[in-house]
Amino acid sequence: MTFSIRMLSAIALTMGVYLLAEQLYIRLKRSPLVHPVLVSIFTLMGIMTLLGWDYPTYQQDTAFIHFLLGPATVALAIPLYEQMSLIRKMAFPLLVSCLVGAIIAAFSAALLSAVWTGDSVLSLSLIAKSITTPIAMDISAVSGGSPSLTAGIVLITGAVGCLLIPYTLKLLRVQDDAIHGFVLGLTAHGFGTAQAFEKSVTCGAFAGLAMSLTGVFSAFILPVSPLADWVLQLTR
Amino acid sequence: MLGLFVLIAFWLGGTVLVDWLGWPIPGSVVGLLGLWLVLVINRGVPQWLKPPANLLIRYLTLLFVPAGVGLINHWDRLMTSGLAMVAIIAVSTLLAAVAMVGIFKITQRGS
Repeated sequence: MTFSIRMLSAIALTMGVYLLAEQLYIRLKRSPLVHPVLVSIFTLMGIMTLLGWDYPTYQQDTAFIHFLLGPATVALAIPLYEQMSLIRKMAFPLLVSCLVGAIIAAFSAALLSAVWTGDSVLSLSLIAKSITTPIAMDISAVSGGSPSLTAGIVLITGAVGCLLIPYTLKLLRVQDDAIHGFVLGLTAHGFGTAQAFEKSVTCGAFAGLAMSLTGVFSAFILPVSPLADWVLQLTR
Repeated sequence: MLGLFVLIAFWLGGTVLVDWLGWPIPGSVVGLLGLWLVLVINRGVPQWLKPPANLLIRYLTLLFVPAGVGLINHWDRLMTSGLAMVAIIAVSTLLAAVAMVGIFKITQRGS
């Protein structure tokens, strides 16, 4: 196999744009509106349109980057393991609220969308909206949604969560950093976890925990739940 | 490299298991659970596993850029139902947050 200039430039461009976007994000005080992923994606879309690249070719060329999502998902076992002592202390409320939160996040979005937009692909892709991307894309494919649409939805969900959750929790008078992190991690996955680590280490650890747990629970529950069938019935 | 090999091996193991059982679950998630179980049994994270795992988690967000660019294929959908999408996501996020805080408040009062 020879590595074409086109393939190498697609990989280099993706990494380069991302690293620049990350610098911009740090300069702009980590506002969720300029999250490096959002900025990179829209920049790359613009560059592709200008250069006349089509997505299937780009997708093939950047398969190496996409491939790394597999080992990265497996690697999430390590922070999960390292937080075991924290988990044990609050095990029961954490498990219950994670289960309820994950189910509400998936069902409310998919059913609302089925009733409102009547678009079955969009509604099925919304099922995985609060789940960390590597797991979300697989769940979306299994449920009949579109993995690439889900990847975009997950990013939007992360930004929305980072904007709304801090105000919501203030209104609900939540002062505990552990709970703050857990809610942020469940609803806004990786985006929320990054924001939580800026608040405090405890907040970040619980956000990471919520993100991992939500991903694992959802992967087991959502594909075997009747949600996808309900969505299809509502949008028929 | 050994760390990366082990991560990929667990991914492979998970995928084989899922394929064999016919489960509609991503193989990488089963690999995650398998590695977690082994770490619990081993009572610690081996030193050689940390650098590759930390690097992958540190740049986790970069890894989903190629898939996210796929939104370009959904441009029409984004233009027609983009606002509805954001509104639905916001409502659903609020519902989940309120329910979770409610559960924490109830269980804390009980204990």
